[in-house]
Amino acid sequence: MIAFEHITRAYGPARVVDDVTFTVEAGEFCALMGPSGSGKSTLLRMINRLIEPSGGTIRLDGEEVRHIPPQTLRRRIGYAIQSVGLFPHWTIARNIATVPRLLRWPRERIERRIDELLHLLDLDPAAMWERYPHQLSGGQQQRVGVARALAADPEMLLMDEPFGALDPVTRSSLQAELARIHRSTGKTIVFVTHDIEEALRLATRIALLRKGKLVQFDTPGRLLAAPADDFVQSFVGSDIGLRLLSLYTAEDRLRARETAPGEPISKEINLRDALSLMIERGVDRLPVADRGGPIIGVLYAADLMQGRA
Amino acid sequence: MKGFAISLGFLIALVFGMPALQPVFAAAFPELERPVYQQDSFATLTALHLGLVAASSAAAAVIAIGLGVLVTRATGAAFRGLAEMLVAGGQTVPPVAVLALAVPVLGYGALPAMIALGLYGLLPILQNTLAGLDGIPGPIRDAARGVGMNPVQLLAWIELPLAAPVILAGLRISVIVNVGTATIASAVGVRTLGTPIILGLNAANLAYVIQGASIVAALAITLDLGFERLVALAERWKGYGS
Repeated sequence: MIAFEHITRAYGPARVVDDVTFTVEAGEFCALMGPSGSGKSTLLRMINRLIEPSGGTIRLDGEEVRHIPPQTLRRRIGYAIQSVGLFPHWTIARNIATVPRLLRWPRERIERRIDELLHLLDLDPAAMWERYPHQLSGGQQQRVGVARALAADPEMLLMDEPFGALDPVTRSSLQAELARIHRSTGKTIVFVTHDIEEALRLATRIALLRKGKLVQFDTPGRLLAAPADDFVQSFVGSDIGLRLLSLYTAEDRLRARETAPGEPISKEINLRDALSLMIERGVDRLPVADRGGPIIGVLYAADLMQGRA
Repeated sequence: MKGFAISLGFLIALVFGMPALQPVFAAAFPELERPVYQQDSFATLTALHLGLVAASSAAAAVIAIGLGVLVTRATGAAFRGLAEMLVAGGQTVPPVAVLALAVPVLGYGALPAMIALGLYGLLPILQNTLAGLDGIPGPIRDAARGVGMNPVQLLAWIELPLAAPVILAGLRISVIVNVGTATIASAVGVRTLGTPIILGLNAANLAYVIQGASIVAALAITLDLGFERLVALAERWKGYGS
């Protein structure tokens, strides 16, 4: 649990972060969002004391971070930034081992952990012991960045626009990966992004900032359905209906034990893509299958319209 | 790689084979009674020369790198301009002048020579240390701090290894210049490869000058190529795969 209590950061007369109060519960995936200069990155970096607040308190599980020595604190918290943050003169394996080495884990344990993480992030273990960051693609480098952040099994992960420099396809596959890691580990993740799609897709809650002030802190569904003001409204954009659909999967709306003709869709597909498929195929219902398995129900176009967030 | 071996072989041949060239020098300078310098062996002179260069360059390296690291820390940043100015000043005073000023205070011998050579060698090392450390991208430092490295770990694991190729390039320039400049130490009574040169100039014995100078030149070239290998070693991670 991370509690921000009246957090302010001033540089001279300018308040980059201005009296922000909210709490990220344990296990949450919290996106810090806002236009550039909104203070989202500053807020993130105050959690691991890379920046000290000018006022207010941040607590991790009740403990004030200012009372934890910075190096101890940072080794407890995974930190990932854009791929340029990898150490270019270290092999991939050594990059991943950074925090375990700082914590003086025994060698065998570090090697086992590196192997685990290379598998978890779908990196070729045979090659990564020898290779250097510059020999990897941008997407692979970013996977390494995430692996490094996870290495010492930290309580939480801080990520500062980690996928900002990637092409849309790679970005999307890494987002899926991160969502999977979040589900399987249950770690608290705080994630800075300026991309509303990314935030809606990944976050369980979104903190929207503007000029250092917290404008709204809510679930993606509530942010879309009940924006706090015009700024939020304009920030989430115009396709609110379609965006809402993208928050739910076929499994959420299907009518079980029915069947329909045609190629079945996966239960994990989101409703926005399902609607697109219906229009493409010219049908008003789609059979839904369990991950390559049997058909478990039918998704009706009419059901897409009901049950807003 | 090959160049280094060839140049090292040539240097060794010159150092140990100079007496064997007696007939050549005798033919070229028939008016000279003793056409090859023999007061000391060239091996001894080369060893003494190298010793002086190594001691003064090592001192310059420790001071310049230390100073470079110090003024790039938050606490030392205020002294950066001053350090650069002082060291640049050291470069503008010719070593001969430093020797002339040092001798009345310190007397003849290796110490004033070391001070003069050391001062003269600071600038390229300091400049390159600063350039190397400044050239490390901000996000790399940010990541290193963010994963929990303390300032010493940040310096030893990240900053110095990443700046090493640039720092070594500065050391290379400093050492090569030092090899040539160290010959003047013989003016204050230190035996170096400059001894035959100075003696030859005083006695109008061109053969001695050629003998001393050719070994100094071979030594400089060999060291230069040796440093090239060191620099390549320091940045070998860049070469993999790409």
